[in-house]
Amino acid sequence: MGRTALEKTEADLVTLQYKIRRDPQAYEKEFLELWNQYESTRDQFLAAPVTSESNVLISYRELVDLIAHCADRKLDSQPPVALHCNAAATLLLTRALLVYPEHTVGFADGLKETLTKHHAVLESDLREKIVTSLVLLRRKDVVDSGYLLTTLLPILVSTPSKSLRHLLFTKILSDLRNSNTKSINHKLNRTVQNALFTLVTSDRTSSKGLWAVKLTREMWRRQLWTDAKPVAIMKEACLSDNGKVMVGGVRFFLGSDQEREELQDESSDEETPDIKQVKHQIGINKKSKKKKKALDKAVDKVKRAQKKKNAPNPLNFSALHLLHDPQGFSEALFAKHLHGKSRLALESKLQVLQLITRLVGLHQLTLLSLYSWFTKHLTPRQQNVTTFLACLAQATHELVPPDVLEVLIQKIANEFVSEAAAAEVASAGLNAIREICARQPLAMTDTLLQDLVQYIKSKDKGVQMAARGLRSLYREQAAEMLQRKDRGKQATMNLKSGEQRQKKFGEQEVGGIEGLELLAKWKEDERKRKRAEKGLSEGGDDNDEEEEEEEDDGWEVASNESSDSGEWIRVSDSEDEDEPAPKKQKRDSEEPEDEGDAAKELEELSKLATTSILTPADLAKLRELRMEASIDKAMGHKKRKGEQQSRHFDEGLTAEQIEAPARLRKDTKEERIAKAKEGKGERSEHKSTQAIRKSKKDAEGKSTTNQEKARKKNFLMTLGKAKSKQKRSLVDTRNALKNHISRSKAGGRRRNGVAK
Amino acid sequence: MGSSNRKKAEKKKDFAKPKLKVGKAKAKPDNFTDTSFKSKAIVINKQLTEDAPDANDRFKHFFSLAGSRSDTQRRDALAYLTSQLSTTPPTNPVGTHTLLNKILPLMTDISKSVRAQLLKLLKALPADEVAPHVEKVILYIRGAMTHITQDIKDDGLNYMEWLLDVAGDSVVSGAGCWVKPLKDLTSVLGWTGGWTSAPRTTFGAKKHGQAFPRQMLVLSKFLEYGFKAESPRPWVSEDWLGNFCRLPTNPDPYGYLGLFKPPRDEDGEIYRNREDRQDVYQRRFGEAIATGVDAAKKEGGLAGRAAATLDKVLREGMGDYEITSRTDDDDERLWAGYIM
Repeated sequence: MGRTALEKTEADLVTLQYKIRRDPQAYEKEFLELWNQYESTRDQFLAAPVTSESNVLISYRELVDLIAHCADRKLDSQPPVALHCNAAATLLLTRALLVYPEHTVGFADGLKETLTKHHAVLESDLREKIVTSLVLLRRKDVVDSGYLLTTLLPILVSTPSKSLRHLLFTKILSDLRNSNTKSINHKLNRTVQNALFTLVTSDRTSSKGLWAVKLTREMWRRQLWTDAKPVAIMKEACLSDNGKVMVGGVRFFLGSDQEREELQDESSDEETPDIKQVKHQIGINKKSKKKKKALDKAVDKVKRAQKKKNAPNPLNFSALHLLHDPQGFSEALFAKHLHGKSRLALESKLQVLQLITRLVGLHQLTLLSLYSWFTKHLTPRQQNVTTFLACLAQATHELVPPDVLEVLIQKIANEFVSEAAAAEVASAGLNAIREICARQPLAMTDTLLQDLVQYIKSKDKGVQMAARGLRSLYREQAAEMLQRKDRGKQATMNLKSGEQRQKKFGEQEVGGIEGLELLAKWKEDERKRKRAEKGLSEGGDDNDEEEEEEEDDGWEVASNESSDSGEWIRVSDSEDEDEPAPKKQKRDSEEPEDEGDAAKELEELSKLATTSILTPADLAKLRELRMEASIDKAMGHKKRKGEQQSRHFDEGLTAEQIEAPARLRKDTKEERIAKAKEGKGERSEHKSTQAIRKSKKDAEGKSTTNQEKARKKNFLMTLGKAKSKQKRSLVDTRNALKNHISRSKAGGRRRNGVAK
Repeated sequence: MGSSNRKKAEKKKDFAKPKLKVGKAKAKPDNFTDTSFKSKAIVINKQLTEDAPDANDRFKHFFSLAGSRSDTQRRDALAYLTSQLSTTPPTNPVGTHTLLNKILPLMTDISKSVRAQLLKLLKALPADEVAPHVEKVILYIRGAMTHITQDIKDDGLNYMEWLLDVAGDSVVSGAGCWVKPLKDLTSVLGWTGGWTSAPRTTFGAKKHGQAFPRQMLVLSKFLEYGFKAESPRPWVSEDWLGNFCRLPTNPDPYGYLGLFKPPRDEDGEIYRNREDRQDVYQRRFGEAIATGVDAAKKEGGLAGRAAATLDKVLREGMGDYEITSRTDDDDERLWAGYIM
């Protein structure tokens, strides 16, 4: 019977869905029936959500799925105006036009209601289906993101089911990501951030805030939220009473920026296809549309990668810099989690401490009670004492009163640095003292310093090096505090000339552009060189000089020439107009040859920035020169010292840096083996090194050596040559041998090692 | 192998036929049991246990089997329950409410025989006990009427007919029992109104399918109950006392207040008296159904006759209808500017 056959296909919801999608007009009636079926099933379900029969649940689930898939079809058949309106508006607009949308409008609300009211008792499959259907409706623009997120967020927080939480979390996150990909959806972000903020602040004892922390952290990591609001959320999380939420917030501040950078690096590491290879393959293999498409794709990908590489780096401030009122925050943190009787575990306590000290160091905050709090923890028996030491050093900055630190340094010296103490302990203490003094040199008294410097003579390498570090620090900072024999040549000379003096408390250095004098000097040298090439005298005529400059100073770096390139507009001619006169003076003063005048000259040179405008080319050269200079400096000294100098005081300090020299001991065997194996790759099968190298070459698509080729040459091909060799006359043989000898003396056919 | 003569003879003996002789009794077979004994007492090894399932337990057993996986078992269970309910007095230890909860989901059962048996069972239920559960029953009937499979749809009409027979008056005045079934019936009939008149694509050669006349008949029956004129009872002095002293006769007397229920929309609202029902009918369905009836009458045949019945019901029911509602569309915005 034809009828039954038809019905059978009709009973299949999937087929019906397909049919509806193909021809929405023709199957309108069917859809309406289905819609009624859905409504009655929903009524049945809502009448008894807990005790519903399984087949009711199943049919409900299937219908939900189908209608979610069909919902957009209904909307698609409308005029485009209606598409852009939200669901409710669509209803009003198109009521007269079409029957369809007025039915599907209630759908999202129905799902929302069901989910919000009964999510705790719903069968898990059905629950999942409802969530995915809502997300589907969002994807098809039937509902907007705000609607979806305001539905899902409260459930995420309140549901007891782990699987549902996981599902909701991923869905919320992906929706947030999707709505922020093309352009940043500020409105949505604001609403979500506000919701999260209230979530954290409304009930500080509950662990609900953890979801806010998780979501914010994830969005921060993906650089979708980069403003101050997420930081504010995290700040509130840090001040939560709930341990988990608090630790989540603190961790965010300590590690989120690093995480963000890592993610960026990862994404930039994506492999780009080798276009050359693809093109080559197309040349050889059969040409097909598929291959061509592959090439297009590869080219596109490479182009995109290049564009991405050239794109300007997005300005991303770290979370610590975006923090509002760091002073108040750190005070609150200290009072809440450290100072009073808080029942935190040592681990989380240390994390809070790290955050507080980092804030204090970075923003140069004044938190005097923090230093006295440290006193009781600075003993070698304290667990994780190196972290405490690192934190103390981190919390030190120029504006901390030296007398507060003096006590602590004295304590460290007494507790850690003594002949009786173990070498590791002493070196850790010395390192900590050095790190503190590097940030606030005034905290040291000269008697103590001289005592500590004595440890240079220690037999232990770690202690010795730590003491040396301290000495070299004070050679630069305040050499007069050291004993005469420890000052060293440079420091003694500088002291004598008065070039070096100790900074007073709170004294600020005059700001300037680092390495500017290098640039000025380089410019001067360049000019001199040019002039020498032209054969002019040093003190040539000024007018000539200017002309010269105008004519042949072809170097693009020169700011006064740069307008020629068309890219940079010359803003002022000040250099040309103003400089000649002072230059002349300078040259006059050079004649007496005085040391003091040399210093003055340097000062003059560094006025470059105030007298002219530096072009980007200038700045590039400046960077280059600075790099060169720092390399020069590092070459003369030990490597580690260069490292130390390059480390900025703004950066955090870890326990490893305090312990570092203590790890100078020899490696164990396992460590040595691990080090040797590092970077060699996995040797899965037993193979010779040669074989591995060869297979690697093969994999890279490189060719073989001539020797290899000769060895592999077909035997039959070599026969002819061998035969002719046998038929040679004696003279021919002799000549060949002679040639061979002379050739081998000359370094082979290619004359290797002999100048051509 | 049977090499010896003795063995050969033994083998042969198996196949030897017993010789029948005239005047002698037939030889007894090997497995013959002699039952011609007499005894004063019989001892049965396995005694009947004392807690053998009585009628109640058996009822409950079959009651649970109504949700069985195999459809024959379901059908048999329903048949047993039907037989128990048809006895005088009917045996029903679980009560109508529980029984309905169990069997109502079977309305959309895939097996035809189960559905047929279910109808018999429903008909065996006492009418006055069904009336309180009308709102629940109608949910499942609606589910069956709008089911995607045609057979179940047809059976849904049967159930609807049964319910109307059993508790017609309480059906039309229940919460969500007037507009929603009407919506379903019109959508099944394809009389949804609107200006699109897409042809019904799925029913092959016949325009409306075989169930079309039947659907119209059920609709006419439904409307008949809905539009039935209530005979006003003259007020007697006892009513004054009875109003607050006697127990209310209908199951959910204050249900229209909706105190402990989710808020209802227009579809789920209670339409307790005839005027309300007429009003909402005229507003939502009147035009569409009238057009549909006209079209169906022209078809003639079975469908035409059914349409004529429906038309008669409509004329009788809606003949005296006049727009009585106080809130017109014009009045809706009357209080718009005021804060209530």
